[in-house]
Amino acid sequence: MKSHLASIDELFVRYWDGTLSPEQQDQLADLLASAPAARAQFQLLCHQALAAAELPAWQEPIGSLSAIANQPLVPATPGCPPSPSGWSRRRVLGWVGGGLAAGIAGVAAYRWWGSEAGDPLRLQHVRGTVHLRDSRGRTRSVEKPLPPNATVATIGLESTATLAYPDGTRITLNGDSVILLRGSTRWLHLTQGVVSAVVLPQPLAAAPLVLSTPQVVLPGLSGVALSLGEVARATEVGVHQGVIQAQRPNGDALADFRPGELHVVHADGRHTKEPLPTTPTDYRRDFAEPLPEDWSVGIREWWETDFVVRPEWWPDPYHNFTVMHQIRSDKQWNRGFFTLYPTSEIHVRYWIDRPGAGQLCVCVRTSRTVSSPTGVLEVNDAFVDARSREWQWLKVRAANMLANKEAPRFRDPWVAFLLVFNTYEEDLGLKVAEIRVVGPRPAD
Amino acid sequence: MALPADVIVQILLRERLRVTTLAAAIARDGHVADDIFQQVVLAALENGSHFKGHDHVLPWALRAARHRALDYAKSKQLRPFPDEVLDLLEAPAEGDSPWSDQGEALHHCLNRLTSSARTLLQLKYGEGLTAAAIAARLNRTADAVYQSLSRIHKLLRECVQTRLGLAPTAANAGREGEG
Repeated sequence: MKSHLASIDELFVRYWDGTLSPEQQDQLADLLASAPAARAQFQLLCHQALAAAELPAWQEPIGSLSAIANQPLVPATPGCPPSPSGWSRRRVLGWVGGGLAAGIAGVAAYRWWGSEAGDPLRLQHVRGTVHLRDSRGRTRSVEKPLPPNATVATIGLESTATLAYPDGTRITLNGDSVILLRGSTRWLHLTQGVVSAVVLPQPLAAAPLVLSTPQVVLPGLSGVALSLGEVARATEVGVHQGVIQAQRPNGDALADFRPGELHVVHADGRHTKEPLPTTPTDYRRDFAEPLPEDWSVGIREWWETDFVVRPEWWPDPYHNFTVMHQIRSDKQWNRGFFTLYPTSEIHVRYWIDRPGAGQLCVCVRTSRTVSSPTGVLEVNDAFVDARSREWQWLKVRAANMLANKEAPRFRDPWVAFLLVFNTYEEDLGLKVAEIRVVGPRPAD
Repeated sequence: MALPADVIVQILLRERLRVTTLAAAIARDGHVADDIFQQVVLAALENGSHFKGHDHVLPWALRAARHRALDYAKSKQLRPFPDEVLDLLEAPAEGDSPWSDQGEALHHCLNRLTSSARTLLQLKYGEGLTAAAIAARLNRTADAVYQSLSRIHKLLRECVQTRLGLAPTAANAGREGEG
């Protein structure tokens, strides 16, 4: 037994990675089946992995990480106090347990958080560039509990952060999004971008949990799953679970938002409702029609025979505000532009004055809008071999757009919600006239 | 008589770690396990009228989490354990330390790791990078990463066991005493 147990750590690490050979996995299965102690250790290893997943995201530049493998992996010296930032929603739920739901959250939380008690709200799953500022605009560590009136901003295509309450409720910001904690940590006001929320049933005694935008207020959320997006002076609310009694900002009742519905509330008060859309696998967009109001970057103009969109100079915050020539679409988190499978083909009709470095990026989520991870499909060197000063097609399969560090870590289908053309610091005279997506065909 | 929603939530929150650990054991992804728990809670509330009593909730939740995790593993083409092993992982182990105690001890021990060890854990389990991807970042081999992670897990296990008074070791006992 002892020799088995000595090897279970490495078996586990390789199992988690999916790199065990069939024989090794059989060995691990036999071990788990025959030895209760091995099962206990395996469960503790899973528990370790869960706890490690909640550790604050690493902040060091990649270069400095080369030291990791050579450093001794010993516990810190006793003189080092435990990090006060180690608590997470999962841990608290695990260890404080049902007491929270039973209404003793305040007492229990005070025990764990000390002066930070009340309704500790923390950031988790921080990825990319995430800023947390207090009410006076001072930057705070993303590892600390969020204070009332704090602002959380996720900057960049790949940036995400989850606001996690002790009861398991979580609200996730995706991409370029900004949320303000209004007065307390129970009122979250979205000023830009997209959030998705999974709100567990709230105890009667709890303060109401509110999500709002400039157009709509969603008060008293409980037992609901929804996505909320700011688009072109309007708010989109997609409801996946539960019923929400929506209000206008002045407190007037608006409507009941029910599961399977997508509501759009405009700044002028108009309100429309439709079924949550299914994102198509085939897609075509030319620029004969004006760009949507919330088109992000790029100028539409007449060029020879067609309306086109050409890049604008844009200080890209993801590249240290370097001015780049980019086209960036509106963001369609809820609806999605199109659904991609590995065999889907993206076709772009374009003109370029001279070939050079450039890329096409397609930001994607999973097929669900709530708590979805994101990734980017890229064509790099898209215009290196282009022909100068003539119309041509860029054609690429989705499967061939995955060789990049931001590629989705989830399987297809991938739902595209943002399109970007980037020729970096060079103006190559790019004009885009048409974008098509051809989904999988039966032969595929 | 159907169980009230707040009772179902209480039970599931109390057993959260157990449910997510089972899901993680199958799905091999902490964030996915967390998602599965959320789905199970919502599904439990939808099916609340089917619960005949308190004792029914946890077994139902474990089985629901198991099925969802297996679906995920299948979508990722991950080979699952045989059913008999999953049955054993789903069942409570004899002489188990309370999950809450184990969690508290683990928290203590994680805080005692070096920052580099914590970073490595975060890259693996938080960022979800493969050992090969971490190795590429660190200019090391994947095997070296596996070995480092294994050492960290071993340290954590020994530390937790010492903390729980299960198997104190000379190396950690002194530190724990000082801590």
